[in-house]
Amino acid sequence: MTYEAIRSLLPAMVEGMLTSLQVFFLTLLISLPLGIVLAAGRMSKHGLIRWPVQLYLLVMRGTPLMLQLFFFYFGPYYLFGAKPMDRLWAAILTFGLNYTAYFAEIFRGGLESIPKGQYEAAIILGMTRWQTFTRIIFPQVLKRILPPMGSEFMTLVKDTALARVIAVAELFDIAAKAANSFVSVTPYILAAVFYLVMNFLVGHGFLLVERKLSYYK
Amino acid sequence: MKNAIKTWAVCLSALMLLGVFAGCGKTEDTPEGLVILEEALAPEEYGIGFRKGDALCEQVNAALKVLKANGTAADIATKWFGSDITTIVADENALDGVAVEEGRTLILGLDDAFPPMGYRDGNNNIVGFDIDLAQAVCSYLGWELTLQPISWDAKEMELNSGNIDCIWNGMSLDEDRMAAMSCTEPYLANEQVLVVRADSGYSTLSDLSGKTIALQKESTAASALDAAESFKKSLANVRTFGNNLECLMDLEQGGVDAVLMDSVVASYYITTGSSDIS
Repeated sequence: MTYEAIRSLLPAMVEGMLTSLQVFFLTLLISLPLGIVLAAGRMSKHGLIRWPVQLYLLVMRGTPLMLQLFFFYFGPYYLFGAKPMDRLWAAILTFGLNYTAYFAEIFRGGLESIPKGQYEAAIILGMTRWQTFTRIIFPQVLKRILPPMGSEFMTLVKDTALARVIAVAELFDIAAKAANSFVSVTPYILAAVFYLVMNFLVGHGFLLVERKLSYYK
Repeated sequence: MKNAIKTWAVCLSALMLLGVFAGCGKTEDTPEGLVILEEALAPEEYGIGFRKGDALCEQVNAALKVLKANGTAADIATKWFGSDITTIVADENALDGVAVEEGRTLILGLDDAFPPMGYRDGNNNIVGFDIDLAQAVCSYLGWELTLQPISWDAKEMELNSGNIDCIWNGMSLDEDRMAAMSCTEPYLANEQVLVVRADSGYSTLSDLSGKTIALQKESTAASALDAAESFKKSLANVRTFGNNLECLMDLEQGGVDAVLMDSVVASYYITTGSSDIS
């Protein structure tokens, strides 16, 4: 592929990257808060809350994300005869609901790894539940969930490529179309570079946060 | 620590740049790498798919016949293929008695990775033979044309749910598709051909017995292969990929021995691509 062709392709790839980033950030906006709610539900004493949550976690983590995209995008038509919603929002909704499940389990893992003795000690010291959570529990949980969260964020950056099955013009889709038109693999290499740079930034961001929080080391 | 990160970042960037340069910059040679076997499989025809019972089908079908009669279709075909290879039956009075919807917007669904029928050019615009033909039909009927790229796997769902009005993308007509959609009469003839490496020495279907071929999934190449039972049985393996370029990439690097694909598209790839696909 000639250098002029690559240069002419770059604006389209940047646009695709912006679409991918849009999906990325809006998905996080939905799934992080919802993940906290679901983690709380999963740890609830009441079975009536716990079981539906467990079912949700099973379905969302147990079915392919691509399948979920088809389901949320074409489902309304095939189930209710309704017109499909906007493609981008269907993708964001699907990713949001899917990643909620993964984040919920990460949050739960972090919370349950705190020894019960700490809660007891806090009670003895006369701390309220809110004080216990914000001053003792939460800072430790945060440090423990950062590595798996970093992995999930990186996975999300790459998963945005799946949105192309409902024809969202994101980065990988543009690269694949260009590769077909120019009969060249170079667009794929370019896409790999773009994803690598994005994930480098995510990884580095998490590294900086982890460093900031390791105040005892 | 900062220095270590900086050095590492520089090395990584250098590595990535090297990768990009290694992957390109080769001259566009005359194709020596790939050839099409003379012996073709099922001849088939391209048609346009609409929702079952949609009145648009008849209107577009009639318009195509008129355009064939007045030479527009021939001009477009010559532009893309060098001669008029359309199989439309000319009829300048085809639209008489056909109620044409006024001022409609036709949403054309396509997989924009299918040159020369519909694909992206250097400026990322969607171009192709089907696009030009559709534009001519819409101009004639006074309609607006909107292009909607879709995933080929999901084309029936996109059509039935109303996201697109038609599938117009070098779609080969077969029984299943004609049963599921209202299709126009064929407008282009096509065959499923086998693309092999020039240095492989294969020249007939029997040369490929015991070999592996690749084809695009959800394409009529798969059903054409099913129809050619004895040939299919003689093969060691059949691999499916998402699009034809991936099939050709595997052919180039020796992962498969032949690719089964539309002759119309094969010609485009062989004349556009260089001897190795980079």
